[in-house]
Amino acid sequence: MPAVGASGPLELLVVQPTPFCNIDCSYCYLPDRRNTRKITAEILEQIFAWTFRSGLVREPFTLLWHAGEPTVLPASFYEEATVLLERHNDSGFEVTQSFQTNATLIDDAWCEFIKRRNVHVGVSVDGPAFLHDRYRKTRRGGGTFEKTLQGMRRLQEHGIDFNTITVLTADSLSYPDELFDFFVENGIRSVSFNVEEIEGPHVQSSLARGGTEERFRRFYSRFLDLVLASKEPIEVREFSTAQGGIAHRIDAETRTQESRPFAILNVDCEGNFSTYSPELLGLSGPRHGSFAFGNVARDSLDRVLTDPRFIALDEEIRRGVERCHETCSYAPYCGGGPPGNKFFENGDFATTETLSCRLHKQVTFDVALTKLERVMAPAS
Amino acid sequence: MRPAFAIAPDFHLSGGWSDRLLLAEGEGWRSPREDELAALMGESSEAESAVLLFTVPAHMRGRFWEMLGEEAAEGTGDFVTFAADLRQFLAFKELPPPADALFDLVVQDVGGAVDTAGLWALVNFGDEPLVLDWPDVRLRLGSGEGCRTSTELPAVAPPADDPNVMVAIRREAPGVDRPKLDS
Repeated sequence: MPAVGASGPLELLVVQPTPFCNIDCSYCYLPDRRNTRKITAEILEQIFAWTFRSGLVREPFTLLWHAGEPTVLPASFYEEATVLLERHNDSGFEVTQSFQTNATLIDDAWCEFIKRRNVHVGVSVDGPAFLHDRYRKTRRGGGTFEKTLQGMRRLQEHGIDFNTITVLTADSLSYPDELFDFFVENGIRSVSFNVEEIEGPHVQSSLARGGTEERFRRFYSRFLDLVLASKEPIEVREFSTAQGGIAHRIDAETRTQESRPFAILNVDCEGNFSTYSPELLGLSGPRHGSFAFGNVARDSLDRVLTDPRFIALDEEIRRGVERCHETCSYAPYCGGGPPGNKFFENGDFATTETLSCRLHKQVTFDVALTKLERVMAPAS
Repeated sequence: MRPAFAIAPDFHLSGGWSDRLLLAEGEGWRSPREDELAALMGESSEAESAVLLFTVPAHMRGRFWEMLGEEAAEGTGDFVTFAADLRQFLAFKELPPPADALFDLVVQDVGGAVDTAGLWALVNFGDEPLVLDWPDVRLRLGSGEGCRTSTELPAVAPPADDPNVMVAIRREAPGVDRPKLDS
């Protein structure tokens, strides 16, 4: 059983202000995105009170508003939430707020709030319109690219830096040059790639087809070549992560953020909370039941840590990480695959390799290593 | 006989076919009707006889003009490296030029024609549309657009109204020079 001291420290608090999303991406894993429920000030207060008295706050952490489109609620809501957060934060540690948004609702009021509160913004955009609009659609099936672009322009007009998350599908892998052009032409200087994952209600990925690994390798290698030769500096999260892993191998005993109990705390808009991979919140498994382990209104961290269901899950995840270290040569650099992916793909947390591992960890690591070797090779 | 036209797989071109294709009518050209347009579209983009349209990325177009600028200023424009990069790009896109293909930088003056002998593909690096003719069919390639031509039905580049800059990719043939910057 993990004691409070062996849990956390909290690195990421994910709060769902609403499950609703104003768009309807075909690869979305959120099961409840038509539900217009909103978090109340009372529940928000309970979340902050629970968090700061849990004993999990032992270092600065990030508060990420996500698991629904956060900008569906007005910026004024988050202004009030920030006041509540500051009132409850007696830890002495800084809390950085972050939004992951489709940017379609970003207006001047949002930009002013983001600047005033020094909020970090991540924009979900899948590249030029012909790629973005294939999956990121309105409920009527229309594209969302133009509105996302307007939102990014608005942020830039206010001098707000943001990073982007681009979901790679089988369709994207033919277009590294077009993606590179898109980032350069739109002044995007920080890029993260996610792969279309099998998660929750999204049970099939276009990337699960045969031959994807080689296509993914070619795509990523060419994209990095363009970035490394570019006069415009672009940070690619996967390259930076691989560099970090190569420079500082992860100790085999170390469990990474997603597999360490309460390093991530995920809370839905009703106060139900979970931990490990954020995608688990609001979902359940046939053997595990609900992945929500309590509610901030009534369940203490101590109670959850002694819950046999939680103990069994933690043990299963720990075995999965151990197996990664026993069987996968990439484990010293990645620390073990995300439990959410293992569960959604393999039905069991005590397993190892997933599609996400093969593409997002192994291929990106291999390609980064090749590029670094080339850069560092002595001139002949 | 007219060639069939298709967008090369793994490429995205903005705009429609009705902006690109014209049919001969009398002394002039007109937009095709829908049924005529459908007849011009290739059934298979893999057919050797199809004219395949593609586009080069903006970063490559930028590098092309930088190279010309370097050549004009210092005489250091490196067309050979640029041609190798263009070849690599097309190979990535599963549209590899023939192994022995030659890359020519071609400047078409007003009223001037383009030698299309042995042409495998032509890429328009200028700002104005580049026109290619087949019997009764005219294709307009926008800035940054290119096409792999049909082996069975060679194209003709008619005299231009505006100067144009392009890269011609040719199957190696006697009398064709190695890559060079001179037009």
